[in-house]
Amino acid sequence: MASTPRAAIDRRRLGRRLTDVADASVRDVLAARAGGRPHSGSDVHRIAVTGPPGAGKSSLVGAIAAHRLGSARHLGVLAIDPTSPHSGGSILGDRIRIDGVVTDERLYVRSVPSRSSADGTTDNLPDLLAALEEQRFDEILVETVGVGQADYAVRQCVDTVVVIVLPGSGDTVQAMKAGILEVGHVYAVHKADRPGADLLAAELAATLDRRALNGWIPPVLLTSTVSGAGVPQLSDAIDAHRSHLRSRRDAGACTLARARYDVERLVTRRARELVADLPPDALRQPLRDVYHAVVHELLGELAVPHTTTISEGQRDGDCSTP
Amino acid sequence: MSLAKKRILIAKPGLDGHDVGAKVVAMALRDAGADVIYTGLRKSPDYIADVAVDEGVHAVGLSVLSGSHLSLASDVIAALDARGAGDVAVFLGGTIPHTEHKALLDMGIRAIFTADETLDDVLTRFDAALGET
Repeated sequence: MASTPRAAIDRRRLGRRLTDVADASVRDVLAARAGGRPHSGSDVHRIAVTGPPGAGKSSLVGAIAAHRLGSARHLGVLAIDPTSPHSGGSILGDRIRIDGVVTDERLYVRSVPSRSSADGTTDNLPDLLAALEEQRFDEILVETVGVGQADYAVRQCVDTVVVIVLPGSGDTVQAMKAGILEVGHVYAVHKADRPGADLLAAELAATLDRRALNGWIPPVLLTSTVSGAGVPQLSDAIDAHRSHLRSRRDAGACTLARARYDVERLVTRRARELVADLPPDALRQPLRDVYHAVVHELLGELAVPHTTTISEGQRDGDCSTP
Repeated sequence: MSLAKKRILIAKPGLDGHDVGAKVVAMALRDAGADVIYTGLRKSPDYIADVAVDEGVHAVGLSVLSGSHLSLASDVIAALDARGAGDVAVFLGGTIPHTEHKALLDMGIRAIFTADETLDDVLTRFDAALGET
């Protein structure tokens, strides 16, 4: 599969296509997918980089990209920045940092606003990733919005999650232990030139050592984009996790988990839109009635009868369990 | 306002190092609902065109205070054309003498903004000019 000759990427076409995909309404997405799902069985490795705001995600994405381009890979980057809850607009600033580290014709960087997603990702992320995979990038890096303790939805869309933590955030790390610190496959204690990095890395490693699942113990690495320290090791750890997945992961469970995320995102997004459009009169009705009205509206939108019966079946596994 | 969901690249071509105006306009566009990408300082016309293409933007806003607006605007328009992106609207703002507005508009600049108008007027004209495609 990897030996297929690669057509040059038509950047203009891809650029426009991603604009359309990002703008697609739920209705548009459903129409575009009438023929099936975006293929997720490809061998494109998806890597997410996530962490708190200002942690250095964009610079580290740039450094990872620069390092991995050394082995002649074609890389796509989706860099997500927050959409204003007030105006619906955004300032997409990740690109400045990434381009500050590396510009290369084999690297395609795309800035994306989070739109109605409040979980660190963006609307239509599965479709955006599928559009990039059609271009046969070897790898896709997803930089999330700066996240808090429980914004880890991105794990349902990618293969490897890199979580960035900062020295001096010890208290936060304690609090995060039950949330985002459970979803990383690789941890980067970033800005490691700052005091406290070694201690934090040791504490983290001690915690994670007890959380090995399916034989993978998430490594904890010290990284710095100022000195470049730790970037090759981080890149190697991503490769090691990829190898681990290939030997262990149940591809079927992964596909199911992604399909579940896909449906959940579209349904909740549309439900949220309908709730936002409810007139004041409707909101004064008893809760049960309003709820019923929204569900009724949601069902009424389906112009064609749906054929899939939803029933209690066997639950699939979680594709991103380390 | 139809600026909602519009993707706009705000760019600083050439060598001048002042971007307060560019940032003020970027934030005003954000507040009008647009998705704004900012290049940072001292970018080449080729870089700006590359980013405009990769980012699939609807418009590029150039901020020039150096006096080189004629050649920089022309180079950006040519670089976009060379990439098959001649349909991307190019706007210009900064210290642009009124005597040169006609030449700039003739070469394909969609609208020109200077410091003697309010932000509301800038947004209104930006929106109107972006609408006429």
